[in-house]
Parts: sequence; C-alpha cells; structure tokens
Amino acid sequence: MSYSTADNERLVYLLADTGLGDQRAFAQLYEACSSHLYALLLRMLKRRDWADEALQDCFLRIWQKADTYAPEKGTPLTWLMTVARYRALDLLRMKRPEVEMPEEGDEAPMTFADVSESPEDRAVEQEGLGMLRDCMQDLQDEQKRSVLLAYYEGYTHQELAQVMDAPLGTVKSWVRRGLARLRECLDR
Amino acid sequence: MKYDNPKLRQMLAAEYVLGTLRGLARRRFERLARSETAVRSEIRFWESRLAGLAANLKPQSPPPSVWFSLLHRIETQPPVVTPIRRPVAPAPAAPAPASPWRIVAGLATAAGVAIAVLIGSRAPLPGAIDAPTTVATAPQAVPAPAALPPVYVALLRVPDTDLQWTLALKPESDEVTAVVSGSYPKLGERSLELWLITDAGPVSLGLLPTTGEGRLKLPDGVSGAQLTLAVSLEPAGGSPIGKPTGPVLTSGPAIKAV
Repeated sequence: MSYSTADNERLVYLLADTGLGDQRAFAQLYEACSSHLYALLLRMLKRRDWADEALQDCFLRIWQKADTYAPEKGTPLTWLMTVARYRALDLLRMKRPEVEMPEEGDEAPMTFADVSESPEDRAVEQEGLGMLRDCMQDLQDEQKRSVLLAYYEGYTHQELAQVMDAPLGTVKSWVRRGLARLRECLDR
Repeated sequence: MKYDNPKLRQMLAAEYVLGTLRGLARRRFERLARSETAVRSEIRFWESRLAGLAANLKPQSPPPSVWFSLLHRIETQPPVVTPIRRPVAPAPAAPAPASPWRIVAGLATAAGVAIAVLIGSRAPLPGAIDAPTTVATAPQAVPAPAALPPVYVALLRVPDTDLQWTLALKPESDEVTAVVSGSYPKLGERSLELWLITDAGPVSLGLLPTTGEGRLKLPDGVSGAQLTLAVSLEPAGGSPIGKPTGPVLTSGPAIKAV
C-alpha cells in the first residue's frame, strides 16, 4: 500500500509490541490505521453503526492476534485491511438481506481511475499500486466492473448478477476471466 | 473438487480473497489453506495485490465511541493466551486489572489517542486523522500535558441499554462535548439531563444528545482530580426545578485526562 518503508517498519514494531500486550502500542496502531480500516468498512457496509461494530471487532481481533502477524503476510497495513475486509464480508453475509441493492447507476464511484489522482497520492504510490491500476485498465469493462463491485461491495455472484442484470453464469465467467487476466498481468 | 490443479487453486484463491467464493466451498478452501503452503502463498498474493484497491479510499475518522467501546471490550475479555511471547509475571504485586479509565488516562498522557480525538480542535494533536498521511505523521508530537489546560473525560453507559455517551469536559472553554452511541428504548417525549455532582448538590450541565454529538455548558470554576457526573430522565426540555426530578439512569467519574 502507499506507505513508505519507514512507516511500515513503525507499524511492524507497533504490531509486535501489541502482540506482547502493550496497550500504548495498540493505541498508536489504532490511531495510525483505524481511519483506513474505517473507510473500507464504511464503503463496504454503508451503515455507520455496522462500520463502527466491525471496526471494533477488527481491532479486538488485532489486539488478540497481533502476535500472529508475520512480514510474509504482507505489510502491516495490508494485513490489517485484510482483517477488516474479511470481517466486512462476514457481516454482509449475515446482514445483507436487510440491505437494499442499489439501483443501476446509484452506486458510489468505484472505478480505479476515479481515485487516488492527487499529486501527493501519486508521489507516495508504490510500484505495486501502479501496476494494479494498469492491470485493471487491461480488463474488459464487464470484467473490471464485476471485480470492483465484488471488492468494494462484497457482492456474491448472485448479487452481481442482479446488480449487473446479467445471467449468473455470465457474471461468474466475467469474474473468473477478470481475475485470471489480472493474475497474468500482475505476474509479468 | 481437485485442488491439485495449480490454475484451479489460483482461481479459488483469487475468488476467496475477492469474496465471491462462498459457503461450503469457502470453508473447504480455508481448511485446505491451513495445510497447504502453496495455497496460503497464493491467498497472500491476492490479499496484497487487491489491498491496493482499498488504498484508494479516503481515510475516514471513526467516532471516539468506537475506541472507548473497544477499550471496554478489551477490559472485559478474558486474558489472551499467548504463553510464549507474553511476559509471564508482569509485576510482583499482581496488580488488579486496570479499569478502562485508567487505561484511558494512561493513554492520554502516553499516546494521546482517545483524548486527542475528544479534544478535537485544540492542538498539535497526534495524527490528523483525516489526512491520508496519518501513518507518516502519527504520534510523535504529543504536547506536554503540563502545558495544556485540563480536560476531563467520561464514559457513561445506561445499564440494560446500549446507550452511552463519551464526554469531554473542558473547563477552559466552559464546554462539554458529548458523543452518543446506542439508543434509549421508549424515550418518548422525555429528555436526558446531565448533572455535575458538587458539594452543593447536582448542577445541570444541560440536555444530552440522543443521537450524534452535542455540546453542553460547563459552569465556571470546575476543577479537581476527578468529577462526578450523573444522568437523569426528565420531562421534555429538562427538569423544571433545576434539580433532578426523574430517576438517575447512570453516574460515573470524569477523569482528568490532560
């Protein structure tokens, strides 16, 4: 993610100290990262009360599991965001029936091109992020849209089929081909 | 399902991370990941690549109530069992577990986290939370506590409900900020009034918000290491006589944080 090596190192130390039960380190970790996790949770869950609940759950888990973090699991922020995203997916599975599916054209902006265009963002952008952006642009429109909708909205294949107004089989193949193409591109 | 096909494994890992792999298939794949290193590394490949999508979201500050509730949950959780890395005997006297408030107070001086959020505008506070550079700017610049006017913090929860207020009392600006979470069942036309308990009896600080955030007025000359607050249920608009008329729903200390 778009942080310097020094920031990542600091987070590695904070996670390590949190794993030892250091509440000050945990507080600093929360301060440094909670706004990023909260942004993702709000984006996926749409409701502040759910996002609040999920953020608490995530950090409770981080408090309990910080000692299981290892650098091969990705940068600390990647790991934390992954914890948050899986938590959001779980919550959506439990709660989605209550959520109204957005009408066509009603979704929040989600195209990769829309975001992170400020010079500051570009300045700190790491190579990997630029690569993901480029690879995303390589996908066909439906492939890209289905992958992004699944990522940001946590949609299942069925929900994607409903939102994209396409047969289930077609949507599944968009997702798979999109991911396969992305994999090839990211591997280059 | 045959998992030994690398292409299939790659695809399942991708759909697992994306979230479109659901139900039984998801659980089966989780089990497989526990035993297969190659599967785990494929999952990590996608986790780290797709995390780039989340990096594009503008950071959003969570409400302070999340942090306070989190502290409360940590306090009430059974101790985490990590026998290898956790220090075994923290202190010879085996101190009683810290109350959430002691932790809050400790954090306030140490890292300034929860309190910083509450104090809000006052300061070169650690970590401008809305800025995307939060990580880079985080808490080095904690102002020396002695240089700051005092702030008291309190967390008041109404028993048997999920209603609670996170309060910051700032004598310097005669102001109380209240952030509410949860709700009071069947409040109807009634109001919830906040009181400061003084030697001369309760002094009204005003009506507490029941949603969102609110500001109340603090009388002059409030000081001390600790203040006592109470919340009573009152007719709409608050007590007509300047003293609590309804039941006291909750009370508790406000701790001097900085």
